Amino acid sequence: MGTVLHLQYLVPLLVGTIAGVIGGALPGVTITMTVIVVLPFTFGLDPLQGLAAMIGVYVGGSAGGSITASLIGIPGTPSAVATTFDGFPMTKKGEAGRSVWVGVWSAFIGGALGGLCLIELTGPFASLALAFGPWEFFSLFVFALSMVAGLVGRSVTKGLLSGAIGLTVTIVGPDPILGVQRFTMGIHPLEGGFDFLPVLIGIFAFAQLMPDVEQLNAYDPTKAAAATKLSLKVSHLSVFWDILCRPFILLWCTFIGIVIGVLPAIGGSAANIMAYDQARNSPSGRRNSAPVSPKASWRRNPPIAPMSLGH
Amino acid sequence: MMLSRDGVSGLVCLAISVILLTQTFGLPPAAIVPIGPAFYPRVVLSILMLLSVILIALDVRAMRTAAASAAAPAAGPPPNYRLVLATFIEFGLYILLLPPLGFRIATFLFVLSLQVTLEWPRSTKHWVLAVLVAAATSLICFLIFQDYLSVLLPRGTWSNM
Repeated sequence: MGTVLHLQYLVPLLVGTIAGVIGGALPGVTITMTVIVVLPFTFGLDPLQGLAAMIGVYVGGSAGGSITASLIGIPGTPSAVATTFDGFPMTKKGEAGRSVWVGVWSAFIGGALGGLCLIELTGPFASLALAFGPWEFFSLFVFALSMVAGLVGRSVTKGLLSGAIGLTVTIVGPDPILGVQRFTMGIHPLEGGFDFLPVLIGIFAFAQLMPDVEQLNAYDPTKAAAATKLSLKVSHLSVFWDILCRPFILLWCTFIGIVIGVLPAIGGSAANIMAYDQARNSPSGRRNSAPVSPKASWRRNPPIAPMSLGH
Repeated sequence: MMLSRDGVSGLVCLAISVILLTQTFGLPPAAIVPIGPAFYPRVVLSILMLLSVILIALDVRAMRTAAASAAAPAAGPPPNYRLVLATFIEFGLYILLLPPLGFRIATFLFVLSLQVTLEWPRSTKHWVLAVLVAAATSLICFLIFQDYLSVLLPRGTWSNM
């Protein structure tokens, strides 16, 4: 701690965080790409400064993804997918500031707790991660797929159909065991299968754009401007209180993020969905999911999804 | 009887699952292990087919119930499906024309055509603005990704741009 709290390390950390937030916020520009872009600038720094910059990029990118997820409904990074579920509806209701800042502060608290765990529990968790074998990974994948059941909403059939469509997309390309090409139809670009990130951006971007295109005839720019005046001003104390007054969700989601993050080849994309499902099905999550009455104040019901970013 | 959006979605998913399922019979069987490359796709596509049929059945039942109760149609402007279809066609053409025309020209044409489709320019000023936006989008994306991020963007086989 005494080493880090010097200006020579805090400045690269700050610059890296800003670069990470910008990179994470841009859909399609992943945290990895942002790290690669910032890397050449660290060659002239000493190793600790370079490391501070890289860590700043990574942490900033994780939080940056939630910004576009909340404001425009398109996640900047795969780990911000769950933020679109509640964050974007909040923006549409005029609570853009609260949506963004709950995500950012949750990411800060989750990152701080994750950092503490990293210091204390790296050894035991690493041993646990290395002990994971094919059976455990299969169980984890089945568990992740079962999250679909928790996210289906009113129509179980449509929810399960969406999951089946997702699985169908993954079939295209080479068979992972024998390498046989499946459903490429002789099209060369399909021989590698579909990459996760373009599919993710395509699904979310089209899901946001096409309903707007469909209703273009009914678009009234004056009404739209009046209804959706965007303001990010918010009382940070009230946002902080919204997060801290639900300690169970925060700690449980952070724990899920830590455990899933430790496992190789899983990462934030699965962790945030699992955390969101757990938070939504918690007692306070179920209470907050449905409005009590037309006059129910949504300010008393903090969003679940940005808080799942605490992973 | 007209199907609603759910029924049409179910039909599309059913068609896709049937077409892909027939293609699985063309995959070679595994020589050593009993489970070959066709096993997992058949499981997933069978589930997709079953769920599609259920969705279509539920939609037909819902439409019959709505017709029997003579429910009033939902108020609001009719959705503009032609515009959605046109947008999808333009995306498809953009993907097809990207290799021969290259990123810069294809992106310029795509952004311009999308603007014109979504809102036909009413004056020369709007046309100039649409062209400038398309050119700026293409150029800025090219400069950021090719020059700054060193991400190689496709050059056209016809245009070499």
